Amino acid sequence: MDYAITTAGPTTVSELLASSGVAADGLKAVWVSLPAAVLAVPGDFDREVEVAEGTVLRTYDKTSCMADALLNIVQELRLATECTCTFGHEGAFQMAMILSDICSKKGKPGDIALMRDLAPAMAVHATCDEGRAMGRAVMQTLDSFGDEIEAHIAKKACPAGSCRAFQTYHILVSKCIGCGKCLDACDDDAILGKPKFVHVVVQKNCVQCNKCLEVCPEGAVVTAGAEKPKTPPKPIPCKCR
Amino acid sequence: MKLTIDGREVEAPEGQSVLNAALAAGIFVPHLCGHPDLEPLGGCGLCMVEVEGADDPVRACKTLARDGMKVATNGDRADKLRRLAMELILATHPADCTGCPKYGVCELQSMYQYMGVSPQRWRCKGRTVSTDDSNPLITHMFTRCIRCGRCVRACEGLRGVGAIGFRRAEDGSMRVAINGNSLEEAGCRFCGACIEVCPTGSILDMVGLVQEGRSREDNIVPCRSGCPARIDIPRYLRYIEAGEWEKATAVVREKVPFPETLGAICTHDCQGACKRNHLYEPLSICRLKHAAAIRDTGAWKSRVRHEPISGKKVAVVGAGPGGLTAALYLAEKGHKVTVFEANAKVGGQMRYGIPAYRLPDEIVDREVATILEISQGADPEPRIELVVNERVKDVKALLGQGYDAVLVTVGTFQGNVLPMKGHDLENVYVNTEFLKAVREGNPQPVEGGRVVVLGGGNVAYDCARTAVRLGAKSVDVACLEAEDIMTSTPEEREEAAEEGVVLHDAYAFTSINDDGAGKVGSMTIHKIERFYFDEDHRAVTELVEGGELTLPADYVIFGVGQKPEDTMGFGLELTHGPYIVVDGTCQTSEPGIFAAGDVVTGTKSVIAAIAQGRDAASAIDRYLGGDGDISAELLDPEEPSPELGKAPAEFFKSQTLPAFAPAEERKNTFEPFECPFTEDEAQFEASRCLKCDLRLKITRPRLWNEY
Repeated sequence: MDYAITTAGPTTVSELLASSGVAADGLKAVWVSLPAAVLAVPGDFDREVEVAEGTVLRTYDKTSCMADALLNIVQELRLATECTCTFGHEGAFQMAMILSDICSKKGKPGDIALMRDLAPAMAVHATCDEGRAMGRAVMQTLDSFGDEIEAHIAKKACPAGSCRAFQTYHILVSKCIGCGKCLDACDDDAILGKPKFVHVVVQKNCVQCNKCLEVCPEGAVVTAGAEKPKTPPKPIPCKCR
Repeated sequence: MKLTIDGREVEAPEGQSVLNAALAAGIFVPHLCGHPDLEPLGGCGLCMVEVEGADDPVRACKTLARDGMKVATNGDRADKLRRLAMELILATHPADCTGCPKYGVCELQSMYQYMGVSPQRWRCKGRTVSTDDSNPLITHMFTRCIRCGRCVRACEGLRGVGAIGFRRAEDGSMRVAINGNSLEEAGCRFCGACIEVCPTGSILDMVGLVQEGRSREDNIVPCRSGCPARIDIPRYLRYIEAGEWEKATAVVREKVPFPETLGAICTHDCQGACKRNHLYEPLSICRLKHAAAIRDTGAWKSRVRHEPISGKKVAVVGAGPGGLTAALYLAEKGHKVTVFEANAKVGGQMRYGIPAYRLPDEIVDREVATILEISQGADPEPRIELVVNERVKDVKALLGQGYDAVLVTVGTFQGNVLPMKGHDLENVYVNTEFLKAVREGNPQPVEGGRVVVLGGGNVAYDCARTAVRLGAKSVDVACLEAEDIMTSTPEEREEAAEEGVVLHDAYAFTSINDDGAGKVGSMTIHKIERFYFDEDHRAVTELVEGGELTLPADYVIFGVGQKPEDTMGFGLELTHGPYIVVDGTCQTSEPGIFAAGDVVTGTKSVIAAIAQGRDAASAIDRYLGGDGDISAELLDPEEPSPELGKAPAEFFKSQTLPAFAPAEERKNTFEPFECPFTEDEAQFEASRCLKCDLRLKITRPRLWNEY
């Protein structure tokens, strides 16, 4: 969630949360945009931050993916500056490409190391505030949420369950009537089934095209992030009707 | 003040950056966005160095040198950052260097090879920008752009134009773009500074501008290289723009002694080479020279070279533009010169070939008088003696008559006659004799008659337009070439057509027909499909069937070229018939006898003869023991302002035209029909100059291997 800050000057993350009417409980991180450009985590909310009119307070809870969050921060900062220095402009471009790859399941094993290499150079040597803020944001996010981001690459999973590329499709036993519409709609042979049998998604073939979900008249196709519904490994006779 | 760079003590003036201090001391520090003539930007990040006492490496270009500072250019931390920066730059730059016109001279290529860096570990993704060749003269290939911003700083900071700037592209990245729909709309001056400073192949001269085998300087300032005498055209156009006529003429005078003559009749190859041929017509360079010459005050005269008398004597045979030019420069070098002229007056083709309506006697008289005046200077005796009505038949004999060297500049005064049927009829004339007779005040009669001129060059047109002025009833021009390949200038044909001259292009000459009384009665020509030269260099014509045409005619004038007279008897080695063979120093087969101009090159132009005259003077001076230096500095060198400012709308106009006498008026008189530019016209026309030479003033960054 974003909250617009209307005050200016030094303050703390806690005060900003309070003045915005946000409870600190359940937050996993808070981003305070420029001039602070700070990503704070619980336990660190009393740190002093500098805000100005137009500063945005952004909160993240357990459903927020921090890889995606960082990608957004980088993109916003990138579009906010017209600076063309190598560390800022090209650094931001690389950060955005790497993070966007990570969020779309195309991350590579060395990506975290690349970002760790680049971020400090940006934080010090980018010539504009936005460029340096990007470097700091990447360093802070990797320090606090390195494992979560790493999971996208190493475990091919988005722990928060929010990155669309990592979402899985499932057909609920409780709702499927075995009508076969999803089977016909799938172009990738990713659904098994026959009339009056509960259909089953073959995860390794699924490309997350969303067509099955769109055609199902019963709302039996669902997507899942971190927690997956229980489904049979093979089609079984329908229970309903 | 003193600082230490890599353990070496280096002297630096106040306010100098660490980068420039290092480079000046011969210590190479990689850099790309930095350019000697531009404000530092601190963008590329390649010039990272470590300064003792500082936490982090710093950009050398943005760090001022301080007294006692200790700088290390090769520390690990700086090196790591520098390599990282280069990797990031290369990650979005196209990888195919070999296809780039800058291959081998590219600063980026040189720099990454020096650093040995590859972008492989990063996301390598070029930013595709399609090539923009929609603008004249300047081609944009921004897909190669590395955002160093040199072009933007050059255009804005150096030139004060600001035609290009950074703009955000659709993918969110910043890119260089035109500040408008086209360079013209953006007020571009087309000076080429952006091309000059671009370290990659992103901004380039339009294809075709850079010609192989021509020096960089000549490619950048083609007008100057187009001039046989290499007059510094951009320099004098700048003075004309400022209304400083005498300075402009002094610049012209540094290379040629006939500014006004050339202003009136030069073949102006410079204009053919002018880059503005691609942008609303070339500058009217020739007319501008004229405009300056007529406003000259002669202030330059005091600065003419005047070396002590050498005691050597030179004979010049033929007082045309080449001979007189050589005479002047030889006299300036201290030699006594005698110029022999077969005709009653000096000037050669300027006097007897070119009609008076293009070049009146007074101009030639005036410029010859100036030559005599400046060569004599304060001497009691003239250094140049003109001997007219003296046809020299034996040039070798002159060496035995007290002359230490002889220069043959007899030109080409014998008109060609084609051996066709009827060529020997009465009332068949030849170009050289016809034109000369008019200048001598004793024209061959054509009044009231029908005249056919054979030939399509400027001399043929001189004959045709002269015939018009002599009162011919009709004048037709017939030539072998189709109009688009005729050697006469289009303006010449246009003006002649206005005066009633009818052109029959692409016709072979069949015969001149007898009127039954031994005189010309008609001229038969035949339309041709095409003509070419076979492997034996013989002309082959393909006739159009039934394309015969007979023009009633009372007079036929051959205007098909001319060749040297007298040379057959000189005893010198000849080529292609009567042309004199010379070596690289203008010397003929006979030691001490030199030759120059049309008699060597074949019929060319006044400016080419002048250029040859200069070469010959220099060569003869060396032959006589001198240094051969005939260069002149007739005005103080100046430093032109690099600033141009945004181009106003009128910058994008075609050539300014002077006032002309209308055809009906001018066809009855030998008075010049073209009015020289007014001051306003000249200053405006000169302001259209692209000032291509300013680009040569931009410092060329040294590559690492030059340190």
